[in-house]
This record gives sequence, structure tokens and C-alpha cells, in this order.
Amino acid sequence: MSQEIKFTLLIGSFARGTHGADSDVDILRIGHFDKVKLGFSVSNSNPISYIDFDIHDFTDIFEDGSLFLYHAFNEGVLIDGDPESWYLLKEKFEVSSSFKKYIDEYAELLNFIKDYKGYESSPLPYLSNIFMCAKNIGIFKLAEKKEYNFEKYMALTAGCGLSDEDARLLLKANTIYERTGKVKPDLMSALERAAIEWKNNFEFKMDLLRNDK
Amino acid sequence: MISEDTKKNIIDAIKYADSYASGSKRRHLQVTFDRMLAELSKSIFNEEITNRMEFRIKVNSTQNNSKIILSLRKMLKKQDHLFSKDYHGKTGETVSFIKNELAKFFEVIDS
Repeated sequence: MSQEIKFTLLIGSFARGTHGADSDVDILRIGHFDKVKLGFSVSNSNPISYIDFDIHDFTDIFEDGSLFLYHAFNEGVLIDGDPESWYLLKEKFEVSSSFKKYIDEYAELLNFIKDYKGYESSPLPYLSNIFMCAKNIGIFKLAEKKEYNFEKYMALTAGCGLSDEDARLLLKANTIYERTGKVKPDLMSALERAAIEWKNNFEFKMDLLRNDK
Repeated sequence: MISEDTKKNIIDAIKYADSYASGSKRRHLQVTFDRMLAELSKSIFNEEITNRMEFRIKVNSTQNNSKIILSLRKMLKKQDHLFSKDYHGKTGETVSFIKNELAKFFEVIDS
């Protein structure tokens, strides 16, 4: 692969057009760390988040058939770099068909959270970290069925088999913990109940996440 | 202030900082770090943590200027190195955060 490769892409919810008021503007930089001109305005509640790969790391994930790269090729919007070179790379790219290694890693992390004494007493970080694991397991499980969906809610429900209520509470916990920090008392009570419910039924929910019951 | 489980996990990360800078171990450290912040929030402010950044703002605003708070402020200032998405090719910054700010905070807690 050429050492001169240099691309900038808009990825994530802004690229898909599904962004919300608090969504990150995700920018993928390959082969450079230059400042990026977006070409559109964003509010302060939409932080710009860079994901950078040098040529060595990019080559590795390209050859691995990375799901992340599949997403960048198929949903990403090229902001800077030679379109023809990017298209040629896209044509050559073959997405992997097995993501067991990653599913196992996130399941192991869920086990770590499950066994962490007292973690459920802090509902927001507890549920937010469960969300992060479940979302990724869901995305990888869907990809193994050749369903490439990166929407968080779909990953939790269609990918992991979680109920609508479970998915919505995990999403809310993650948004509050990672973004807004604002939580009304009634929602906090619901999140506290959800944390205890996860703690008491973790084995069942883990089984649900790992399998297709 | 910090539970034995959390201490044990963080001390392991400090001891083997290089292996905690990426991949699965990095994610384990993120989970542990969030638990540590929750424990500190309860201990210092007697309230649940709602958000990493809000917690940092509270720590920076408190009139309490004890050694622990001063060290915690320094550590929280660099916490993004552990959570940023753009860590590929920059794991040195995470290793530096673990070996310096996080390790120094733990030295103060244990002193």
C-alpha cells in the first residue's frame, strides 16, 4: 500500500444523517493529523471527535477486513483525499465474516462488570459501560449475519435481542454519562431500578446477548 | 475512599501500563476508572456521579484544596487520554497518563 495515502472522512451519525443534538462529529483521518475543515457548521453540543490511523495501522485493519473500515467505506463521506484512490481501495476491500474474537472480548468485559462488587450502586457509569459492551456485541453479531447496521438502538434490539425498554434505558444512561450529565429525579429512579435489574438478571441477559434467544 | 477491588485493578494497570494502553485491557481500565470516579464522587461530594466532565468541574470548583483534591485535579485534566477515540498510533500518551497522573494520584491516596 502506498506510503502517500492521505484521506479524511466524515463517518458516524453525521455521515448517515441520523445525528442528534448531542451527537459527536466523527472524523476519520488516515495517514495524517492535519486540522480538518468541515464545510458545515456544528454547535458546541456536537464535539468533533477524531479517529486517526497511520498508514501502518490502516494497512493492518484493511487486511483484517475490519468492520469499522467497512463502515467507513460504505457510509463515510470523503472530505479530503483522492476519490479515485479511495474508490480503488474500497473495491479491493473484503470485510471479514467472523467477529467471534471481538464478541468474546466484549462478553468478557461484561463478565468483568458483572463480577465487579458494588458497581451497580453507581447506575450511570454501570449502565453506560454495559451499553458500550452490548452495543458492540450487537453490531458484530449483526455483521456475522451480513447485516451491517451501526445504529445503537438496532444493535441493542436486533443485534442483542434486548427489549425496547432495556435498550432505551441503556441508551439514556450512556447519553447522560458520556454527554449531557443532566438527569431528572424520576429518570434517575428508573435508572437505579434498571441497574439493580441488570445485576439480578445478568446471567440471563448475558445469555440473551451471546445467543439468539 | 476507593474500594479494594478498584485499587487492585488500578495498581495492576500502573504496573503493566504498556499493556493497558490499547485493546481489551484499555477497555477494562476504562470500566475500572469510571468505577473509581463513582467511588470518589460518593466519598468527596456524597452524591452519585452523573457524568465524567461534570465530576471534573465539581472537583475543580470545590474549596477543598487538600493534597488528594489537588492531585485528583491534575489526573482528571488528562483523563481524555484514556477515553479518546483517536488513540491509534498515540498509545504513548495513554501510557504516560497511567504512569504519571494516575500513578501519582495513587501515591497521594496511599500516603
